[in-house]
Amino acid sequence: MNTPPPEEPQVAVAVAQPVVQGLAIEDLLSAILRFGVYACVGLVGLGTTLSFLNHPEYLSSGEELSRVLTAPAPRTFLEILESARIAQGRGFVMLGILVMIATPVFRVAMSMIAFRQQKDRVYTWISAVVLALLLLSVVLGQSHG
Amino acid sequence: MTPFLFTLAAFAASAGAGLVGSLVGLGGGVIIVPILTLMLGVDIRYAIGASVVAVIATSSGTAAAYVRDRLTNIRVALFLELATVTGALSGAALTGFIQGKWLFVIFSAVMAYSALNMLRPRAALNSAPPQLSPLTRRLALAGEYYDESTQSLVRYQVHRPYFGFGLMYFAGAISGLLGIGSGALKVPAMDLAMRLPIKVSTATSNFMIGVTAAASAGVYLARGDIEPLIVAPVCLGAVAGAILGSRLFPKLSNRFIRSLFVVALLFISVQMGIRGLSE
Repeated sequence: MNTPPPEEPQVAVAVAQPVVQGLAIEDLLSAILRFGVYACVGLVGLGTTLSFLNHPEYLSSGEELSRVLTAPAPRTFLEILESARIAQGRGFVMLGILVMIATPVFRVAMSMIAFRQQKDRVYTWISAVVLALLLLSVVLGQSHG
Repeated sequence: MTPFLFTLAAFAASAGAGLVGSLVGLGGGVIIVPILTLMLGVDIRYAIGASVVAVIATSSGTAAAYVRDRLTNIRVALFLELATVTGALSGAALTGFIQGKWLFVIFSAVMAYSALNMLRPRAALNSAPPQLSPLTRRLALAGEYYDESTQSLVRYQVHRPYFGFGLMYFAGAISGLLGIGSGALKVPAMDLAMRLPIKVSTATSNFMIGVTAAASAGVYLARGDIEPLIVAPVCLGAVAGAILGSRLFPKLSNRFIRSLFVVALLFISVQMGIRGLSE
């Protein structure tokens, strides 16, 4: 099912060229994604553990849940940092979520840099436009939301 | 229910959604939102906020492995992201002008139609051997990967890149308009129009959905829809499911992935149809 008909013309597969010594773009992007996910999991895991340590009643009381589900969350970057500084579990969780949200945008930025390094002008431009549109949609979304 | 039990339940549900999402190239929001709202009593706002984070978690968690294994084609992904991000922007601008009700019904039908088409053998669709577009050559829209399930090297190239690009713009606009994940439209576009191998289509879709979800996550964050103690187990669960899924994915047969995707697409199609008709 996967083998193309033999008469089909073939396009040369773009061979992955090293960006930095011995590192193909694919490997660079894979490493960025993996690092982002691990950092997020670490922060969110730490935050969750802290929350349960600070609130032992979370393990027993059924009434706590409705309170937790409606409590206002730290929203701005400064609120999140402050919350993490005073070792509130929620602050660490939100830091982890910020890392998770930033990771895909960061990978577009890094592919732009990597393609530029390879002097692949077309894909440098494609990545740059995608990045610009992404940032534009974030800005527009903030003002609309 | 205690917060502890809630955490365990949300983790388990999200792990299931992450597992399925990682195999078929969808975010898994369609599974997470109903479970959170209907079974765990979470407010719809927080449920949607959490599901957007879960989509990013599933995307990044699986893409780390699929990009490394060259299952994801990053050139195809970037080329198509141009279309989906532009589409999402225009879709968001059109909200308020177009009635959601009929769009849901129409897209329910489009999804059911593409799902059934994806079950037809390729030879039947391939009546005339397609001419390779100069754009495919210009943008090097081709690739190869080693398929563990068949133990063979698979080479492929993108057919009809303009048509695929147009469909992706459409997919982005619809997801911007209706606020649904666009993986359900991306995979059929890559499969039916661009003729990519099913594993490349789902892996590339997985890679792409993180970017669109990240753009909207910023909005939910600013609105205060992301509640840490709800999002935490959902995010961790989605990552766990995604990592498990990305281990299984290369070994699963193409036929299995395709069938699983068709089942998931029909499920979403029914869900959208009901939503449209009941609005």
